[in-house]
Amino acid sequence: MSVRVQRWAAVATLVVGTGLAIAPLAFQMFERAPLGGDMIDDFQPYMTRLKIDTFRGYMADIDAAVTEAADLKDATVEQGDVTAADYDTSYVSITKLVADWNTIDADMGDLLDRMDNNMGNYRAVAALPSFDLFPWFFVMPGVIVAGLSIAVLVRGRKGAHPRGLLLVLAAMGLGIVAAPAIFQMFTRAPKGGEMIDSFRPMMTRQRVQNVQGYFVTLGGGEGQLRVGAGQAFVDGGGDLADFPALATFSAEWPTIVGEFNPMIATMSDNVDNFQAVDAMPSFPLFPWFFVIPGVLVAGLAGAAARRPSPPTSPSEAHPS
Amino acid sequence: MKATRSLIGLAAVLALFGAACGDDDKDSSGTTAVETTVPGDETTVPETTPETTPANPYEGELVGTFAVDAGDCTGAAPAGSYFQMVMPGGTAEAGPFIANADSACTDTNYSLLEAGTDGGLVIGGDQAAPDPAFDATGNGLADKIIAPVTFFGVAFAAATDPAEAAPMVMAADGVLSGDLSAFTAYYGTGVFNQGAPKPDGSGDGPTGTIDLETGHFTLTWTSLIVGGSFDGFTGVWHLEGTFTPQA
Repeated sequence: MSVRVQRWAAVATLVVGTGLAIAPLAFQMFERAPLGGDMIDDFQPYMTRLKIDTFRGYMADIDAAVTEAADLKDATVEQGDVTAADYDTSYVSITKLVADWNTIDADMGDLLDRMDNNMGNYRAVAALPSFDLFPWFFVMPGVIVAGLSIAVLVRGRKGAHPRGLLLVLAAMGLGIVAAPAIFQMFTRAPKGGEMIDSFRPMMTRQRVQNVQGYFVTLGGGEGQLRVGAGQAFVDGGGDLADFPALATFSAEWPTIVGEFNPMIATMSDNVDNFQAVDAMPSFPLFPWFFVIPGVLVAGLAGAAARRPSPPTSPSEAHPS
Repeated sequence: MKATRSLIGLAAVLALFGAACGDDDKDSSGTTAVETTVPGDETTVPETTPETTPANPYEGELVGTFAVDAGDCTGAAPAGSYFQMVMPGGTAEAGPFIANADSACTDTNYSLLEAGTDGGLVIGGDQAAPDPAFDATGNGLADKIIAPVTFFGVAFAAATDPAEAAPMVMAADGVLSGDLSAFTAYYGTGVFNQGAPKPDGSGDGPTGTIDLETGHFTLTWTSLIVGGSFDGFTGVWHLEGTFTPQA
């Protein structure tokens, strides 16, 4: 192997190593990756079967209550004290709840579906090394590769064959290639990509505000059913025992608020975090950010580490 | 020679530093005299303090209890103390507000407030939330400033956050201002800063009036909720009652 080829190989690995080291800066990973870690941590309480099923149970109970709310209106009107139009005017929050429920149910159901469908993906991403460390997985090997490359160049200028250094450099390259396999990135990173794609429609400021609005509608409706319409029905001679779902709704409502409140807060507080993660390179590409430079470094260093061949020109015999 | 110059320079710096400290001491002693002045006790008051001593207990920095009058909806407009929640994008003047079906008012945009166990907002007192701050269903438990108020079936409570600046209210010619950045609401397991200005200094402070003879006051502020489940909503607080200076 000629000295010129060694030098060329060392320069190439220096470029690759430098590229690896500065990649996190180019992709703003030092700022964005920890935000992704925060998001993963914040969603942890909600990415469980028990929690999703509990939320679905609340939605089913509200659905039954909304059905009964429409029945309650009919029953109240039948009592003869109010017309349907008067009822709607007196209980605008109930009217709005009944009118909007299908939209609310569909949208909230979609959120729960997205969380439910991504529990496996979430676990895969959560099992990856800490997001805070992500940038350093590029910086550390990049700096080592660049340092070894410089050492190879320096030793080559002194006329010695840096075979040992080149072998270490080649081993470093193989380590970089192996890293994604060790951390199971080939399986986990694409799952992270799937989760990001699936969460994208729900992690927007507008979607969060929609959900906030749903709870204003739900809370307003529940309150008027409990305080106003229910009592008026009883005053008219009715029996609320005929509407058990309404009683369940009101009994559960404080718990629903207490449970959904932090979930909405988690969504709201992580919109920016999500956008930071979404702005990073696609998750499925991450393993290849290691494999390709690793192969290059290992190949170049390995080839240059072969025993030197006799000089073929005066310039190679006496490198400047 | 060089060492001598350095010593002279050092002595000059020390002399300047000493003079500066001396001035500060004079200022702070003056402040102390004002703060410890007892009205009517002229024989013990330094000659320099009478003109800076607040003659009226409702002037200057008010330390004591802003006793809260209970809200009342019997009139055309709400009286006493109340709370409103403005929807995102709305204004304190025009709303839109969240209607609270649990409100005692016909206009359910108003949620009436009643005095807590301390009688109201105590400037100079400890009015932090208890630990835990919520019961099992998310009702806020803090009850020193105001009694917890049912809002959408869940009680919200108010307290001051010890981690923020201690509440402070100033009065000048019957006009109130101050720093209530520590004012915090507790609702449905969520904690929401409702301070004015906000702890980061953004937003306006509270405004109000105080009657220089009776101590009757109004104190109003708005506070945008930043983050959490009510991100973008704005709380409107109106406290009204009588201020009693700390004894």
